[in-house]
Amino acid sequence: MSKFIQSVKQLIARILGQSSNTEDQKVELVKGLMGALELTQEVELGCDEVFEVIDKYAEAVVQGVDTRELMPLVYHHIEMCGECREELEMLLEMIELEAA
Amino acid sequence: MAQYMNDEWVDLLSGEPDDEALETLRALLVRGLRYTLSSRVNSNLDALVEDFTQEALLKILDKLDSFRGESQFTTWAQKIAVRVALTELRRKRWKDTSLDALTTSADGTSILEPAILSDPGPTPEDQTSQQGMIHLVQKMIAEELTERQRQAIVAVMLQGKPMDVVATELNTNRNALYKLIHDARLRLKRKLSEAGITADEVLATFG
Repeated sequence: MSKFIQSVKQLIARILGQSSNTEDQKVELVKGLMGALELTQEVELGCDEVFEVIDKYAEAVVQGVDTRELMPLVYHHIEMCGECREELEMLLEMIELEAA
Repeated sequence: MAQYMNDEWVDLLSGEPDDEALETLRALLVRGLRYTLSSRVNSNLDALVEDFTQEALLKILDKLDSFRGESQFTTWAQKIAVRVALTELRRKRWKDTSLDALTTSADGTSILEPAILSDPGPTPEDQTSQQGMIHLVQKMIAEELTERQRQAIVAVMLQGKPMDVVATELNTNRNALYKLIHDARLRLKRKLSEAGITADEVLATFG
């Protein structure tokens, strides 16, 4: 029975994209966290502040502007936040569709 | 299709919206959403596009006053449609794939306790080893972060839950959640610095 439970736990862990091995899990989180800490800045914009200007930012990207130079805090947030990055990508696809 | 300048869009959509302008905007959103969502959803594309367009149009009309003219009006409107669509899709995807029910026992405790939250135990002899680094990070998480910060970091970074979903679970919004995690990252970074170590050095021990 315990073997069955172990198998179920391993299956769940695999589906969740994690290892059932707690040491591996710890290593993965530590690595992910340290990667994020490396990029962490004292001042960062939140998702709302980025949303306010993401249209302007997207048009700058399409125009080939160096957004890292022009809007560094937005650029940084896009690097840190997967959700805002995905929204920018989708917005860029829409802009490019209309321009085609 | 009618083309309008920014000011014209705002004028035509303010108050009682002009039918032609509204239809032009609707068609733009439908086209953009159908194109961008076709690679992101497997079924019900037309129904989703219709729902998202409708919701986005309501939000756009509601927020017209906040359009500052710093981009094309159409880009501004499209960003609202993107936010509507992706927020809903993320919630739906997580709901469809969530194994919360399977990973939570009848008494509500998690079967898969996040190991990083377990008691770090005694400090390993070699503090520069992988075990030493894991211990250090575990200790910092346990001692430096609030319960809410721990919950947020585990949910977003370990369990890979969408921020919108976690924000709802923590009874907050995505912006506040980002700031909560930012504060946690800053706190951990400062603590590491006090310990005379950088995140890069910790990473280096894992090869």
